Amino acid sequence: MSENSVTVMFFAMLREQRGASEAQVTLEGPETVGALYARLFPPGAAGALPVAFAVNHAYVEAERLLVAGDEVAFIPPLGGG
Amino acid sequence: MLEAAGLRVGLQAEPIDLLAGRDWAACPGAGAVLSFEGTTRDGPPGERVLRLEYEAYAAMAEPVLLALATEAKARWGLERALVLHRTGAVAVGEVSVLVVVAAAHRREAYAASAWLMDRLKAEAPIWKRELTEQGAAWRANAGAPPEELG
Repeated sequence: MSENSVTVMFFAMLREQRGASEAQVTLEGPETVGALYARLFPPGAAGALPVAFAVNHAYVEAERLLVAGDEVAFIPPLGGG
Repeated sequence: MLEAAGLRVGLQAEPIDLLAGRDWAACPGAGAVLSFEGTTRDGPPGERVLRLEYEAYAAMAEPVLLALATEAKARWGLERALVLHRTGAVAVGEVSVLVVVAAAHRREAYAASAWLMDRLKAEAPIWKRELTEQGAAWRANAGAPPEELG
């Protein structure tokens, strides 16, 4: 694991697209959670979804800056209930 | 499973024990104990549902459910609140979610139960994949309802 990496969790259709439920990703300088999502799931690409963002198990805005060691999750449209 | 004073929430792969949930919630201060069961629904002919598969971000979903139960307890003065949600495969007709609230009076119980289900569907990181005769698809909930409900 790099010193400047975060753990990214993938769920539902995003997990299927990635073929993995989590990954270690090295941050590219100061990077927001929204920018990280756009980097991993480029807008316009097949399957790019509107998602919500969570860092360390709490919802955050897309502008939230990530720091090494964060647990990041992209939250696709929910289906609980 | 997470617990706090008068609160119990959890995710579980095994079937939900409805009576155990109700018995946990019943208490001397409650004049109303209300159980809501969300059950998996079949589709029309040609789109028969074989089963649903729920996936959860457990490390976040349980704290989210506990936060919602905490807010409901404070807002409606509940005696008890319990929220249990299934994960993994759930057959048609089975209970996928159980919400039990105990309150002094029924109006608070109805309002809190409805609010808890609305917020759960909008906030708990849980996903549903529907396997039908036609294939499999992820099913999203409708948009979040207005916050003033209840």
